[in-house]
Amino acid sequence: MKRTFSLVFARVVAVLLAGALSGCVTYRQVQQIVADSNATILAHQLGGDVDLLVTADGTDGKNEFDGAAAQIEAFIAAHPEQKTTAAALRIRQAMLFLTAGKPELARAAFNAADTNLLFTARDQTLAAMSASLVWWFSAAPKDVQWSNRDRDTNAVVALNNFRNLQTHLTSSLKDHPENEGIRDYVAETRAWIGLKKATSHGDAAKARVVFEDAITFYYTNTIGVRPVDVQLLQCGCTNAPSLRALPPAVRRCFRTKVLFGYAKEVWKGKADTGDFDPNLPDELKQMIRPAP
Amino acid sequence: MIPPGTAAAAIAVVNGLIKLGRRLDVLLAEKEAVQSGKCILPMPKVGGLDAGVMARDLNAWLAEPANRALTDLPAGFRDELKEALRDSDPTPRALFSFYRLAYPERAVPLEINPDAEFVKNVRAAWPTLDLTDRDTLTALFHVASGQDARQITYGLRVGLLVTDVLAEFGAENTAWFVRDDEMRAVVQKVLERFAKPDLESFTAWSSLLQHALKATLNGVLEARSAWSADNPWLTVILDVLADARAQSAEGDEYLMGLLQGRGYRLLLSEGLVRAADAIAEDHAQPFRLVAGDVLKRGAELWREDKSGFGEFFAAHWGDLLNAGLNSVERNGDQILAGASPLLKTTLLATLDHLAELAAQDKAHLFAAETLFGITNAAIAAAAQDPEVLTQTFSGKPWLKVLLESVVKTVSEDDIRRAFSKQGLERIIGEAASVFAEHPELIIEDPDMLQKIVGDVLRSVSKLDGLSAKSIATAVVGGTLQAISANPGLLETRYAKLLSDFAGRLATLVAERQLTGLDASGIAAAAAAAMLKNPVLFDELEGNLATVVLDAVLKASGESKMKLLVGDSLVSTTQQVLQAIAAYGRDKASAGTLEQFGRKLGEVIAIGLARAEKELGRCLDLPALPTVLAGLAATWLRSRSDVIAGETPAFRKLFAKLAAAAMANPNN
Repeated sequence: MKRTFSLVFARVVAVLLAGALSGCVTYRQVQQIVADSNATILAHQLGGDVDLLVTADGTDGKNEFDGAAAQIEAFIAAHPEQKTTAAALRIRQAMLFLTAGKPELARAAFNAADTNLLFTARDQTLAAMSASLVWWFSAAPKDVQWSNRDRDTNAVVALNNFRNLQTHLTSSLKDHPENEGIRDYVAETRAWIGLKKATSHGDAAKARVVFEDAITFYYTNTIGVRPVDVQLLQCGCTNAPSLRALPPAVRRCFRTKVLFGYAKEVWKGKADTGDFDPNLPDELKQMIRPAP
Repeated sequence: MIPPGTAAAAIAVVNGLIKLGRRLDVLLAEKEAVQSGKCILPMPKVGGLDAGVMARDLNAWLAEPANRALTDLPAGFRDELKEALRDSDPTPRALFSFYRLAYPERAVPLEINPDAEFVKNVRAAWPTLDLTDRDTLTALFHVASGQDARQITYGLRVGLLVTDVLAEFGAENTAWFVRDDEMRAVVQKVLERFAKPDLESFTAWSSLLQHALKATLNGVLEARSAWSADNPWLTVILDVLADARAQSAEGDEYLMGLLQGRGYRLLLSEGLVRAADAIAEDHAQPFRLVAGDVLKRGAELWREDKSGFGEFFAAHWGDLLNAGLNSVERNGDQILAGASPLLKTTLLATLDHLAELAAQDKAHLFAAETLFGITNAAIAAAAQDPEVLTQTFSGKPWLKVLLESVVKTVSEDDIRRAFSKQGLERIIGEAASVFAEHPELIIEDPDMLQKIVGDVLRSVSKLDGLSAKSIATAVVGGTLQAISANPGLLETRYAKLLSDFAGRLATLVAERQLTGLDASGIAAAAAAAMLKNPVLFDELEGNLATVVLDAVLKASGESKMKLLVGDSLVSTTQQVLQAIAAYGRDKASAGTLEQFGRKLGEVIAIGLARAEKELGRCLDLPALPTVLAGLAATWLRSRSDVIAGETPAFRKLFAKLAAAAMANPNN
């Protein structure tokens, strides 16, 4: 009798355990949030190039920022006790809002992320960048409307802030190579801000200083420290086709080509003021010198 | 049959397992959110025209003789372009309006989308790659989570979780409830307007609601003691905000900007409290219509936002409405009546002019207090003379000139360097409040602020912030109060003389001959003393007040015991100026002001020398200014030189004046 009961009991426990573990509703929700928010951002960033958001019911969801953000909002509201998850999701939500061109909502999402509960280098860095990111996502696309405040205050604050973050992350790579991705994001964002600021100066001398700082700091702090990266860039990024886990160096190579392409355009407007600073690395000068 | 004890144990274990399952689920969810490698970090599009290129091209355009003959450009184009290029480092915004007219074919901004270009590069390198596949693209873009600052890994935490579930859990949460009546009323009002219970339309309202609550509660908390539970003005503002959200194409984004503006908090903590106390409740609905129109127009400008006005509007809409409330308190029906009330007309026109200033990158020169003050003054002027809103000065609308007078005043580099932002804000704000009380001053001349305040600020801008602010505050306050009490002074040099006087004080402070504190006291004293006979000070060539100040300081500096410092110096200057106002006409106009000052200095020096001997015998320090002013008055009234040295007559006169001063210490 006792043995029979034990068997029954064990089976009940096993079934319940399996049931309990297989439930994982919350986990699946977060997986869905991650997938949907990524797809939403990609669809917006790549425009007509991709069609990632055609959902199962056939509706086109390219403007589904509100939906993706609301998913996060609903999750946080339904799970108020999951504060660490909420903090990370707030950062993700803020990036969604930034992409959607909703800076105030992005600011609110950043502010709502409890910084004491952000643990990864990526989330902590994004939180530290948040004020400047909110400004930058609004200011970057402005064609000719950069004000003195954009140029002389907000951009300067961002450049200084991101320089410190970039330096810190680069120095951490020795012990934590996994920080390379977020370091690259900071570095690239800083470089774009610098290039944009360089175009906002009517004074050619000031523009040159900003331009050379933006490009040099990006180069020496990311690519120039690894000869293999220089080689990658110079030979045209055609190797390393393993895409399930694209190495940061390969991605950086492709992204740097875009950045330097724009740098060449900017330099065209400055070239009549003389050649590059002779202290710039030769490889760098070669890469950003416009074709004759 | 299962024994009860065994069943209880089984239930406890099953409960524990269920709990384990739930917590494991939560932990895995957290891991996915925190450490997921699948995080896409976008890069915004970058666009623009190069200011350096535009500046170079525009200079070339100006130098090209053929362009002088062009007739299809706006009047004044060349002059305005030259002015813009005078800035050694212009922004794209400053040049673009010229560039698109001078070089329409080149005025096409370059735009680059870094993420799309990145994908193009990848596609070119690996043409076989399927870039429509979501996983492939995610792999291209993902940014790893990086180092986790916690010492404990998720694997270890799963182990600990199992252990933990085996133990008993205590109670977890305590209920939260707002017990305070006022707070509960406010929370309820916010919830009624912003909470949407249906999940279908759930677009981030939760964080919005949190912000609405936080911003509103903070504002209310700041004025907690003055707040009443049922403030009709709060209802108006919340209704207007809810309408703005519903009607704006930007919806939540617009509302979020409004809620985060600093002016909103001031409106709640000051404006609405005062309104509840001082404004009749039946004004609330008309005000709501006006406020609604302001936010509606703000939403249009926000949407355009080509000039960066949206950010400015979000920060300051509360200041505009606060000024509106203040004006309703003062002018009531007069500005709220009719289908198109004056308050609405003035606020909307103000908004449009501010948007124009934002396009010129000048709107940021308005701080909260400045904007509140000048808007308040504008409404007061419109209430007194509605025609003013349609009048022009030098071809510009009256209101625009008024707003530009603030910009001109605070935009000078020297002034911005000398004054702290708050200091400048306070001085302009106080000046504007005088205009609100006496709108007739700006109805006739909307550039009055620049003329009076700008001159004073410029004259003291060589000093450090604190001293500059104290002198400027005294002189601006004194001048405006005097002019508002006696508008006839506008026809005299009163303001100019005081501004020059402030400049002289600034020099003396910079040379360390005066402290900033004494200088501000002397400034206020001089403003008051000159009012005793403004005609005398006006009709003389030069600046009589400055001559008197120098004479007093010279005599004081040369005296042995340096009795004139602090209050005694301020009081002596004031009383001597008053004596001159009463008796100085003949002596001051008899020769040059330099001769007059030299003789006055001698009189005061003789008086000081005598005072050093008599102090503690027939005189104390507080009585000294009265005695010195008495000597000055005697000299001014006399036909001959009665005060030429230590004569018996002089000693007798001094004793008499000292006795009188000691007998009447308040004099």
